[in-house]
Amino acid sequence: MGPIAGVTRAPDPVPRGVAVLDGRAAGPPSRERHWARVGLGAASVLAGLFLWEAIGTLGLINRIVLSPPRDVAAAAVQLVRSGELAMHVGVSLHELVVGLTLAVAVGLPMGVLAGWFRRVAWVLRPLTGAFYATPIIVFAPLTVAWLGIGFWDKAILVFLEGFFQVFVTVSAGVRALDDAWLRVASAFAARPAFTFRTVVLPGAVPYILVGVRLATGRGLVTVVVAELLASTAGLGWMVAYYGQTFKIANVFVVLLVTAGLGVLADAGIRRLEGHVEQWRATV
Amino acid sequence: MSSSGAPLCDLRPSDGVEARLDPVTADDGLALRVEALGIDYWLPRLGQSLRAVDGVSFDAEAGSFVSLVGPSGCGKTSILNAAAGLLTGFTGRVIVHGRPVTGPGRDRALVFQQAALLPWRTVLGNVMYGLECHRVSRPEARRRTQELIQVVGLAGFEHHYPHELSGGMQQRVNLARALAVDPRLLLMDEPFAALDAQTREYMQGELTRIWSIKRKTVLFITHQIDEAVYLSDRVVVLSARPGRIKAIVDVTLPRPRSLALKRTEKFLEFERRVWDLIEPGGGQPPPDAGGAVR
Repeated sequence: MGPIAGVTRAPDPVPRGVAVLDGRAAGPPSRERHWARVGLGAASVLAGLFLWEAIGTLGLINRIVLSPPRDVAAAAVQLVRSGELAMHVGVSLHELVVGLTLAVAVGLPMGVLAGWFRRVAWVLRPLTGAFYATPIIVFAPLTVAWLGIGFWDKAILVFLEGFFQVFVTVSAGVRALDDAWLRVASAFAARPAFTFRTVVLPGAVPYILVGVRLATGRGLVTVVVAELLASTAGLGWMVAYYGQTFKIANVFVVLLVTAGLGVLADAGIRRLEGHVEQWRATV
Repeated sequence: MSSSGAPLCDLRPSDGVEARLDPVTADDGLALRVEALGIDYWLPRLGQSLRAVDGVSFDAEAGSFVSLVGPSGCGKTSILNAAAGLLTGFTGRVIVHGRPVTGPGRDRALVFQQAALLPWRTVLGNVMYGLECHRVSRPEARRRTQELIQVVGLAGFEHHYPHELSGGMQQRVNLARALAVDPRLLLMDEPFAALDAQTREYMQGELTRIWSIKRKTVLFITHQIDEAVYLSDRVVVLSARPGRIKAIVDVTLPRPRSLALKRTEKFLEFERRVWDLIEPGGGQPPPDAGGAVR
């Protein structure tokens, strides 16, 4: 067998003495760049905390209005110890996860159908187009009126929010499938169900993940805002309650926890996307 | 035709093909018969149809290598797609092993111009894809996949993903995927068009090697005259749009053919002749204009 033209592959991590085009390796970032990124990020957070603490300690702004980090930390310890925080996080996450699961369970198949069959898209598009452009939170008074203040009014709002995200991205993804892949399946006389399982679904996976990631981010916002409006528990309830009773340090704790949850969920799904994107890597 | 002192090639100018269809005979030793094939495309924006292929007839004997050459847009790929069963609504007939083509079938396999590999499958998974479509049992599919990966020279790359392969290697996977289903007729659509000149030449050598092992009937599309002459037993020359047959040239160069054959006078003779058919009066300046043939 003769020689074979060179293989292009981005090793993991890129070792020294390996060429990299335009400073961007096709694979994951080098260890060196990873630490530079973490270091700079940490420095910026620390600087912000320092400034915040200084403002409170120097009495530039009343501690009751803007609690300095020390007070926030103390409040956090108290909220964690008493188990109060965990309980409310649990309530909000439960609403979020149930809503998102429903959104994917319904949005994924409908998105695939609308992407595949033009007639389905014609039927669904006027409805989805109108809802997609509407901020779903405006339905909060309705869900409360229909379902009462509790679990399902929030879960349904998350479902609506997530459903449209998943539906729109998935149907776009199916429409964007490479014709060449589908022709391969037809040329081998593949049955439609087989083509669907081996080409349509795997080909749409990157879009499905984008839909889930968008749905998760927006769903978290929806849960918290819905709880702010009307609830008996949850992160939004904590913000409303402690805000009205001027326990600003507690409010900050909840804000930080909410932001942390958002970042965690986003990073988790991005990791999955990165894993899937490996085969998309082009030179 | 193969007596000593035989002419270098057999020229059969196409005699104004009529749409005269004989009843299909069961098995006449022909792997492929294209009869009075006409293909029109509808251009919705202009509200008119475009004749891409006009009354094309030719055939391929079982086990032979036939190339279709012609300028861009002459309908070569359309003819191939008709044979693959991917095209409907043509006139005339395409008969594969005595059966008119009505759709894709397991007796044929297609090698695509762009490798068209599934990027989420490894080399192994891509080569196995056709076998999975045909519901071949797992162990059998694995066995055939491994064999084909060996044949096309990709041993050791089974677990690589397409984006980790060079263009030439991707085309090997493309070829292996088609050969794995053991088709009676292999349809190849300009598989080397996207490769650089050097890799292309090398892959031509590889294809003749693989073909000598697997001995399939091949219908090969190209616009490279030297490629067609080097690979084929028969070259079908098409005109510019609408594609009509200009001539059919039987290439009688001996096999096995090495790449060195391409530099021989005999080979250049054939190449020049096909060029003359495409552009009478010498579109391609022949290296030496000694008129060996007419």
